[in-house]
Amino acid sequence: MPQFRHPMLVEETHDERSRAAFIASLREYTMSDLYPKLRRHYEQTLAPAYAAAHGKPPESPDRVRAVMEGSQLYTGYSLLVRGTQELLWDTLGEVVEKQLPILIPRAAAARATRGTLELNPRLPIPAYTAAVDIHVMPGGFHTEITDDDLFAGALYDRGVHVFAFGGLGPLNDEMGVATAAAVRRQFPDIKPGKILDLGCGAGNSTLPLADAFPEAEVYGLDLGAPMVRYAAARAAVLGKSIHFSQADAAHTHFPDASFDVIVSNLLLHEMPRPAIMDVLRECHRLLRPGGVMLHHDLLGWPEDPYDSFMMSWTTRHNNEPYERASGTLNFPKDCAAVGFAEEDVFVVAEPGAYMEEVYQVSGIRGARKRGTS
Amino acid sequence: MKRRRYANGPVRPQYLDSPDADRAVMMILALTAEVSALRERLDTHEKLADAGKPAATASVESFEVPETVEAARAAARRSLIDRVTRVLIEPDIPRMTAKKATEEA
Ligand SMILES: C[S@@+](CC[C@H](N)C(=O)[O-])C[C@H]1O[C@@H](n2cnc3c(N)ncnc32)[C@H](O)[C@@H]1O
Repeated sequence: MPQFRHPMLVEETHDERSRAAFIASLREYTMSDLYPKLRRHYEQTLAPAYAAAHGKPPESPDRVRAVMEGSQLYTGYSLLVRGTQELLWDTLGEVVEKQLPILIPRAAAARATRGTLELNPRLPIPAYTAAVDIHVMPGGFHTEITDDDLFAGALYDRGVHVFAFGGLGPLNDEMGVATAAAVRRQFPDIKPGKILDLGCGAGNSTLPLADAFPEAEVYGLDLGAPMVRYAAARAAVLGKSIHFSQADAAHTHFPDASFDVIVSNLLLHEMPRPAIMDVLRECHRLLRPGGVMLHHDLLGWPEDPYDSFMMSWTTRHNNEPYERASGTLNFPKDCAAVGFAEEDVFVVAEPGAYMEEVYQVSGIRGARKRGTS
Repeated sequence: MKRRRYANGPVRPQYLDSPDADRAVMMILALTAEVSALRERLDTHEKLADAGKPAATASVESFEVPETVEAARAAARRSLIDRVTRVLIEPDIPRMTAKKATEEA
């Protein structure tokens, strides 16, 4: 399904649309075709050959790595996925950069119509994200290339649609819709006055909160100024009033007990363990008694050596160095360490997890803060 | 205004026998995207002509791709990708050396 063409979405010429469509086709080919083909090849040929020589199948992710790295299919797959990723950002980046002179004033005008935006030019960008451009996206989420810049936000909104070959829906919001639905269904007693979305990015997952809770005040924060500048404009043109700010999810500017609901989508897997712990602690501080936090991301890390090896592919090949940290949390204990009660930790058995066939271990989990408001 | 065109972080992993071979494959991917875009532009010209319209720049740019046409284009992109990547993703099957093949013949 094509992306919904709202006024903040980068405009493409005929050829630019075709290039983007080609890259989406490459993504679909590698993920829907080669990925399962690789597994079959491993199970039917590579693992049996290893077992014949060693008396048992590869028993650790490192052994699987050795087997796979000797395979032409795996090498070709990896080069194609990496090459596609670099091509994606460079091709779409060219279009977005060219259109900044139009998009920047359009965004400023849109933001003036509704919602709020608070920037913090002095916000320190944590070393873990400054050092590595996550997803091999040049400049990451925070780099500014011009005044009042929104390059990273505009690029991410278009890029994630091509990356997921449309799989997150015309508004890239299926994860956020699932998260918002989980709050409604699991906690019908909560009538949230204020909701916060941590690491909101381009706001793709923030808007569904406003739809699910029309009475609530919805806030979104992100490290990157270009992300929230774009998110605020995108929300405005889509008719939603949301409060965006540039902040670190681990140390926000909001007072204690400010929110009834705090969510994040695809945030924790981008952080090393100490930062994740700081985010969980910050959620506990920011929640009102009886409030809930929900994190939509990895739920664990596969036991199976093949699955474990393939899960770690993105770490090395897609600049996602911290994925394992979020997958190997001891979530109940870690929540308890920052003030939640272990019994108040939950996992939502919920469809709508991101790219299920690839990341079988993703979903929503969270905790409720004790007390009544 | 200058976007960066490479990502900070660890060096690009090496895939084939040399980093240059990897670069060449990535260049071929970019070129293949271009071939695909050209093919689709040509298809737009044909579709306009089929409808008796001139293929002027403005009508090419504003051409709304009907669903059936987009489905055909997606299939064409897919076959193009299959043809271009075939040798890169060959399964690992035992091969005879040329010498052995000659001996057996
Ligand atoms: C993969 S994106 C997901 C965006 C969004 N949640 C969505 O679902 O579309 C991750 C976002 O988290 C942000 N991020 C990473 N670390 C952060 C931190 N410590 N505080 C706030 N935002 C952070 C990044 O800037 C990026 O925009």
